[in-house]
Amino acid sequence: MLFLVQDGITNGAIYALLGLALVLVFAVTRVILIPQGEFVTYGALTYASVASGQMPGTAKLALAMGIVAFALDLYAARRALHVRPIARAFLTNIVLPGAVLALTSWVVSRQPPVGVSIALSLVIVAAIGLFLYRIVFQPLAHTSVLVLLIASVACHLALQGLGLLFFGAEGQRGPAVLSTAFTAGTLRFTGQSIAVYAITIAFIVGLWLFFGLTLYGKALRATAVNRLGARLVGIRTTLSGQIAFLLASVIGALSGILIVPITTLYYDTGFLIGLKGFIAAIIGGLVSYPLTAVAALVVGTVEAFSSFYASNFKEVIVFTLLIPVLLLRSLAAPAVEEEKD
Amino acid sequence: MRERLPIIIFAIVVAAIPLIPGVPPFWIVLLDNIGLAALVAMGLVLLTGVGGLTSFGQAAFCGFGAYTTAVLSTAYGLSPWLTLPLSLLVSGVAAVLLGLITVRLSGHYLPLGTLAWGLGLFYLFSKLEFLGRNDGISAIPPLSIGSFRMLDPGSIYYAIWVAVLISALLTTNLLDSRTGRAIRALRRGHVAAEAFGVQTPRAKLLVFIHAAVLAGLSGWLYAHLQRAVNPTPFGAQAGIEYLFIAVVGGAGYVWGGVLGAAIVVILKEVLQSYLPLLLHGSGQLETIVFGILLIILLQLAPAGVWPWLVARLPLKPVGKRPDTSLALPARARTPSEGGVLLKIDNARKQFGGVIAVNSVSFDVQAREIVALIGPNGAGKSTTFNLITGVLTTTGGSISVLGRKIDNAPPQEVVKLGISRTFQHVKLVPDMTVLENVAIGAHLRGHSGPVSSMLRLDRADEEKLLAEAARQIERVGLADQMHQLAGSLSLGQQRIVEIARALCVDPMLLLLDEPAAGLRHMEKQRLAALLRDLRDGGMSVLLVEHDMGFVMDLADRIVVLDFGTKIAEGTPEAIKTNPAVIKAYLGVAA
Amino acid sequence: MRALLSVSDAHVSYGKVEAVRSVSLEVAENEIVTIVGANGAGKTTLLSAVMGILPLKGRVTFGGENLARLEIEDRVALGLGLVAEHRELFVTMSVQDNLELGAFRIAKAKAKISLERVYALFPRLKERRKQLAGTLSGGEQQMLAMGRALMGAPKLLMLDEPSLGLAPIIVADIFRIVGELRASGVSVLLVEQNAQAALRIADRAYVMELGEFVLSGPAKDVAANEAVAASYLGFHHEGASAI
Repeated sequence: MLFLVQDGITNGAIYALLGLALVLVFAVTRVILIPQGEFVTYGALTYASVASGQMPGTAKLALAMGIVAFALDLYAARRALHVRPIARAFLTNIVLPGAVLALTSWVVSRQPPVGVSIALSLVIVAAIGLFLYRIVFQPLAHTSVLVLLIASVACHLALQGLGLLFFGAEGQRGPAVLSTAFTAGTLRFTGQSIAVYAITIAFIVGLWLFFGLTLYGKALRATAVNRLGARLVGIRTTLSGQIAFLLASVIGALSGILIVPITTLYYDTGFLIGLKGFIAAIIGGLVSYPLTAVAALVVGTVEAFSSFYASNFKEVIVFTLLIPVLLLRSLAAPAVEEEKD
Repeated sequence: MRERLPIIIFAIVVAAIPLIPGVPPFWIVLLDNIGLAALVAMGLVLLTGVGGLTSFGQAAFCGFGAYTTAVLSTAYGLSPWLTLPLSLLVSGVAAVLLGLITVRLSGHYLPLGTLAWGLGLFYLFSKLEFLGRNDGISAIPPLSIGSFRMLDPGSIYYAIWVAVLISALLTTNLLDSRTGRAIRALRRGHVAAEAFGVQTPRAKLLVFIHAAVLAGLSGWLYAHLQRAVNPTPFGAQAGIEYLFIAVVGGAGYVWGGVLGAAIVVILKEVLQSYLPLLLHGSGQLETIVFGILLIILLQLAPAGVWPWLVARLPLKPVGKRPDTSLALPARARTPSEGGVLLKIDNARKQFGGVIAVNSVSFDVQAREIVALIGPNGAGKSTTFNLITGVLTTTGGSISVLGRKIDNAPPQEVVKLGISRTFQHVKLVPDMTVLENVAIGAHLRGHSGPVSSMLRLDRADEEKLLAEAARQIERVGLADQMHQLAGSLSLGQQRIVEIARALCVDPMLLLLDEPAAGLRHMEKQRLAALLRDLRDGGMSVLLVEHDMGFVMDLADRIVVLDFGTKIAEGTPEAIKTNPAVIKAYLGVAA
Repeated sequence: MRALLSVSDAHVSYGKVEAVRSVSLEVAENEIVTIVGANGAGKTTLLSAVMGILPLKGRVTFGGENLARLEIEDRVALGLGLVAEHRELFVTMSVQDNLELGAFRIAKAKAKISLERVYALFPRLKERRKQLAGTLSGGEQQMLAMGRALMGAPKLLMLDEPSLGLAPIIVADIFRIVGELRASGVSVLLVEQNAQAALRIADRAYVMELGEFVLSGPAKDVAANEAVAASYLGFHHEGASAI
């Protein structure tokens, strides 16, 4: 029994991280981030590849996307070409992913330490997340939630396809982040599960500090609360969008890196994992961070129990669990007039 | 007949394609798939584009349709024609059950809810023994008419496209009707539609069922085209793809669904068959390219390809002026003159700690114009919302002709003959003035969705439109009748709201700032109209800030300040009332 | 005096309706200019377009710079500030957070000085600095909106209906502070339905009707104009503010 709860909490912690990222991205950009799952897969498989001495295709993808993003930046600025913003765009869009690509190809053949593999994977996926916002969502910023959602699904398809191209159909596992283990009573704690807890908690605390204390964190919250208000004090919507996507991709990649030593990940596993983070986010109403975290733990636990007792119907149970919750939530929500378009 | 011409041409072209010698059979397969997808997308157009309810779960309804016929025609040997109504019924019943839960979901919960049960049902299809688990069911008999068995894609082609054309026709008919207007009003929020008697949850459930039945039809056809079913085409991925189709084509347009289906199906096919040749690549190259192309398409035409195309065609719809000689039965008026029509007795409304309306009492007599004035935040609009049932009172009572109505839903209040306009205009901007105003006559028509689809509602419909046209002429907007409401100035939109309220044939008209944004002349015309209405037996309660307008028009004035009534009396008495001058008018009066 | 803001031959369409037609306007440094007119005359539309929220046809320059291709955020950085009709506060954040974000484009040291100044101008906000913006009263929210805009050290502050829905006594306070702003070197473009109060503190005024300026000149002359007196000053008075 207890080990199921333990399992649930380990999974739930990951879902919590993903749920938080989804809430953040939605609040700031109105994008329901379906490709979050790909950030997970990319992070995990990039890490596993680098650790096993293979060159990950994601590093090349980051550079390719950077080139497209730079081209878009140039096109957008075509009427007034100033040196400094272009130099800055060149630096983030071309030089950074280029340097990471060079570094990765130098490192892979030399059996890098775990820390280096993690850092490289994070930077690669972060760059992909950033460029994804620039290429896909920034030009669509003025459209409806529905169009953004469809674009988001299209990204998911393209990225998942690329995932297959880069990593093949075979599953991969990565080396453990922490390899110690100890037992307390009937429970065995592996170093990896401790790493999961520790990193999740550290990240949540970090995010809390970021949003509560820093000007950029507050600017992000401000954009989420009132987009026009934020623009009127000079906070660029694109800047907030970039930060949100950056955080989401880092969180996704980190989650992937934390899971891949425990479970074998395939190029398309991320989608289902992301979806469960998503369920947690929805239960949290796409607004509340603490509620999302709690919901994630519940989802993880339900999943652990149903995979033990009714493994065939595990997914059915997890997904149908959502409906009563949604119902309760929308009944509890104040009857405000929704005006879309 | 003229507006039907493009459809007839389209039907002839579709019918002729297989007859052209040399058409590759592969094209026919493609067209079959387009037709199947178009059916589902059409339902989504109604559900998502028109009704504003985003669903990821439509593929599951295809599954219900397909599995119903698969099980019944294999295990029980039923004829496919017998399973057709059963397939549609199962999809429809599933929609009722899921809809009852799902349409209550608001905002973003809804699409996510549909995604959740879409996934759940997919796993259910693939786990249930009698549905053949992951392998599904095979050896489904083909459709046949007499000895003609539709064994190949070419022969079922006509069945599919007849279904598409009939569905498109029925769906467009539905949208152009009393029920259709109610559905189209959903996307703009509930309050306005409910104020005219639309049962919004029922309207939502209706589109939900309509979309599900179309998907079920597509599933039924699919099962007999493939003659085998398995869970894959009914999963979340497919559900998402249908939404793609609707959005790419143009989510607000029935034919956008068909166009979107053509674009997406052909695009996928081209990518699948040519990309590997071009790039010698393995893996899911086509998904990658498909995803990227989709993003580019969305960036170029965010509203969809169909409206983009239509805007470039020289087609201009001509609005027909309704025959205004047709009349609807009028409301029975109480013969008594000078009785109390509306009585508000100690009404209270509290929001959290804020008391918005604090024990306010006043009444409106028959044939009387009463004005409600006071500073912003004094509780005027809240009072309106209490009377019309948008908000429930915290205390006190409101009665009409002696009958208590407090806390009756808006749909019941309007039945009593109380209609209203809104401070923030609530028209459907992409509907014409005539259609908007006709929503006001919603309760005076009785055609349901089925008769609308079959065009049996025309007599009823003509009377409703005639009434709407009459009220539009009455308020002086006859020239704008066929313009889109969103293209009018704000002041004119307020007048359109008055016409809509008049369509109720009300006893009491509640007007929230009707004169705002009107020019001097227009204000005078409005005042004359309101006097006319009063002299014809109607009562008017209005909130207005233009004191010249109010003092000139009102028989009696009620002044609110901070939720409390501070004065009541004739315009002359109010002008000189010290409390009113202090709180509202100022010394200049 | 040099023109700080200059708008010439501006047209603004809202949906398919042309809400502002061929409007020209100037605000000089250290000047309070008001635009008065009835509800729906196009005043808010004009301000939104000058700020870059709505697209504008015509020429707008600020401090000599053409604003045509600049986004809202760039206009803020140039020193143009708008207190919008709906105030657009960050309601779930504290008063102090709102103010600090107002200085998003300003160096930290400068922002600190700005904060002191704003607190001096609105002592009420200092008392409530830890409170969430959404829990403030209407008048306090208006003060916060003005304070937040001032945190960005604007050269020109555009105020859209600052008296809207406020008690008369608070309206008087707000107008007093608007007057004080000029003394500290901020120009003001004030859009008001409460014509009397606006004309009293303004240097110059424009009267807007159905999207066009029908009259302009020194505020005193406009206030003395009989047609204006009849249409806008009649029953309106402080507190008679209205939507």
